[in-house]
Amino acid sequence: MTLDARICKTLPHFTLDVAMTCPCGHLTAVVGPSGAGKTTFIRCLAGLEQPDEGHVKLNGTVWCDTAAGTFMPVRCRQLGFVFQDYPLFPHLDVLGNVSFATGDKKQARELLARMGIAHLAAQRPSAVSGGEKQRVALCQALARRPRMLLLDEPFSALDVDTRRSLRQTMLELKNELDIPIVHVTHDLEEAAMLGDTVIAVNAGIPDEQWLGRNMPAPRRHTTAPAARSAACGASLRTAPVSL
Amino acid sequence: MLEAVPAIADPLYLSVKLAFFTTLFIPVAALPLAWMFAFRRFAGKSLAEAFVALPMVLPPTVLGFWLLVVMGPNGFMGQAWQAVFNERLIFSFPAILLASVVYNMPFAVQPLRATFEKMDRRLLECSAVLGLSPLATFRRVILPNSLPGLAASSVLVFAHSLGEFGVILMVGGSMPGTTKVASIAIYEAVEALRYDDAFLLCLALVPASFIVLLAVNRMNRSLQ
Repeated sequence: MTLDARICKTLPHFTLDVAMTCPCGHLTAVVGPSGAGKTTFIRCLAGLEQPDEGHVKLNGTVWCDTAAGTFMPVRCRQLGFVFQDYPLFPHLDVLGNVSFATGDKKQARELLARMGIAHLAAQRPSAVSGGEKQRVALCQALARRPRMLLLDEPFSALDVDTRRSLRQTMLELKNELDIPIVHVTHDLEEAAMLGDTVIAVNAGIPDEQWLGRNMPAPRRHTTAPAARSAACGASLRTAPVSL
Repeated sequence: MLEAVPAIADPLYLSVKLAFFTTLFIPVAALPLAWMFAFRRFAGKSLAEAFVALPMVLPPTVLGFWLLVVMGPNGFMGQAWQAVFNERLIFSFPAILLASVVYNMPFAVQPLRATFEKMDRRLLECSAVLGLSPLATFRRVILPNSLPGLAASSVLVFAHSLGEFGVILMVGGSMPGTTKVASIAIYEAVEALRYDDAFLLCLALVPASFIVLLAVNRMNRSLQ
């Protein structure tokens, strides 16, 4: 399963024009300065916005193709999307949030247990911390058994320790999930740690020079799969996966 | 004073019945309208919004007159009612109920629309990402998070229905036990110089309205 996308969209100050491919089990980190068009790009990938031109194809299935006039609604794409500010449903408890799409409470409890937040199942979102909310949001996205996972600056609002812990969780998940993952972040260290491929977007277009200037030296471009395997934790990999 | 009890009990009962059924039925139309105005863009939206808000600015007798025209024996609603139920619509309880629903529509739609517009749009996006249709999103996300707005809308409609006069008089006349609601009974009692009846009806309406407001405010607080 490979994601193949090109998004072209006119924004108020520039035109977004980014193309990418992302094979299964790979994480493509999209980095760049604030206001560079990263969020619009990932929203177009998800189908929350429509590009002016371009296409989004997953393993040959056309989700969007402006030339052919095809646009599959986001609800039909079976994707996982984790938003920046973890918008959980306030009228449901954590378990209800995780099982929202499937109604499968057993699977939801398993996911919560594996994220280490099983004790929060009966809590309302307003009663849990930011880091816990983001773990719940991850569980919610994974509960749908997504064909692709999209993350829009999921850790940006968290403190350093929580961010580090969630990065580790993400790293473990990445090695376990056999789907394309696109991770938008403005944190280059995060991109270097998680990304198999890093795309820099500046003023709407890929900018290798920006990446060269700002990326930590050891991992400027595509990284070897071996590096991520070595870094991943054991807990998620050894447990039977029912994503 | 005891002999006045039936004279005030029937209109009071009718007013409460009218307010109750108006409050019960109005969400059927108000919820989809508020949803459309809050979330959808469509041609003629401004016209539709103005049309729904019209009862707020129209004199009740003018609205009542137009409703009388459409509900009368020659009006399309009157004829349809006659064909289905084999009885006259005008000057009946269903007629004043329909009139009350139309008259109260803006008071139901506005608070609901404001609640919908305040809702975090990302919740709706989240719901769509999780595979829910717009209708399922409405039922499982929008509605449960709009209960305070629904309560506010209900209290406005109930209180407003209790005191309706002009519209009801136009389409319902003053049929004792059928369309003679409290406000009409008060007017007629004053006209006939039966000030005791008018006094008792007015006295009963104040605590009734107050208790309704109190109950809904409490419900609103607990929901928040």
